[in-house]
Amino acid sequence: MDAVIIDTIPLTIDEPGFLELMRIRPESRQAGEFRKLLSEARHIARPKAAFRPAYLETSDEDSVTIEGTRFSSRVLTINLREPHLVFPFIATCGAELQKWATTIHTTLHCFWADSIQLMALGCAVAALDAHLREITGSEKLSAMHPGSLEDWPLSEQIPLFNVLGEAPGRIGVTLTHSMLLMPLKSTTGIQFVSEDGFTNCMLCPREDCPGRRVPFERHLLEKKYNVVPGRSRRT
Amino acid sequence: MKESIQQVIRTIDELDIDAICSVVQHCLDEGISPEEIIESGISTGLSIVGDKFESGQYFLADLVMAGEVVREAMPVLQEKMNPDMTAARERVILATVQGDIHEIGKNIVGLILSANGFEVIDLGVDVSASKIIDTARTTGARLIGLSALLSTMVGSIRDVVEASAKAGIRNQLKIVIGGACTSDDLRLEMGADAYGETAIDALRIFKGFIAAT
Repeated sequence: MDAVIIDTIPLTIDEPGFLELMRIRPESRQAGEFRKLLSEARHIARPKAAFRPAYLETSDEDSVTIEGTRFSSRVLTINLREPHLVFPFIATCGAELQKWATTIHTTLHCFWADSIQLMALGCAVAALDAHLREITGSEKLSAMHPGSLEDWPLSEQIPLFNVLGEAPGRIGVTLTHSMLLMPLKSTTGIQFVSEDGFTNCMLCPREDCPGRRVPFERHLLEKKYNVVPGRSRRT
Repeated sequence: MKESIQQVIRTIDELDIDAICSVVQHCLDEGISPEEIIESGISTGLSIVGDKFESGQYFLADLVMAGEVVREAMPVLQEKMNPDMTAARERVILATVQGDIHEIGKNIVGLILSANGFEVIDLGVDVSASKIIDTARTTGARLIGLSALLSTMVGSIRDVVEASAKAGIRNQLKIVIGGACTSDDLRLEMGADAYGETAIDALRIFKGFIAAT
């Protein structure tokens, strides 16, 4: 199946909420500087996303094959036991916004610009999620991202890019030799319908992570996936 | 403690960037030395912010803003400072390792270290081991902070450790690592000296190294 490109995603940011998040007093000089940056960003930003509906072909104990491409991950393999249709995806804040951010130099403004780019990526992911919920008719979408678990390392970006075909290029995302996504505020992964509702956070021991969405389940990796923590590092 | 020094502490804790210069100027007008303002006011204020960050009461944005508040005050203080004090600052080299270009975390560490009196030599991102070690040799910096977010690039940390050994200066340096893919286990594996999870950790570690020498 062909990739679907979503490239008309607005940068929607709740300005008062964002000011609060950045700890900027609304009446301060910094608020004025921030509003100026945000206004520039809104003008420039073109968040984008792409996905490709794909069929799971075969699987063995530790790998699955999707559209002729093999992915090595025990957790992914177990998570994809049920769904046959999966959605490899890519989302980005957009190269336009990253280019704009390189023109900003003070630490504080760079921090704000970085946060704006992250918000833009959030807009792209939200648009992608909405699109996939509509297609699948399900609210129970889960996602896995290469590099976010030892079991599915960053090097698995390569097969993921293979499956996505021309889609990354069409939304301006490239992969460097060190598996870095450019623009930096981009994300990739595979979405799938799951009754269990999987998120990476369940298996990630970084308790203090600001992005944590659900609690870490200490024994889940061994119990459900039969993976001994620390013995699956692959890069 | 003098009320005007307490006001410096409160201004930093409240992240009031618009007020800090006049508060510091008021201290100077009262005859308080820049050194005392830094030691009793700014360091204490930053320490309170650091504690709040570690307890989850403050977030990264608070930490960055506190660093900026201090940065705003520094020109006012430096104007009145004894030149010997500014020359004596401990140098620390910061870099994102080769193959990685994430910089926000490193920049925040730099901001916090600068605000606490360190002289930060920021080499930027995607920095080779040889450049880091050459800089250590030419500047005499004993402290190195390496940032890495990509698990594929952690080998670059070992490159820095090995390059310092090859240059014969490994035992003169303290190499601290941080970033999303790093951990204390990785620190052991790569032969670095310490791992810091946050900018406040990094500050504590670098201060500890100085105190120990």
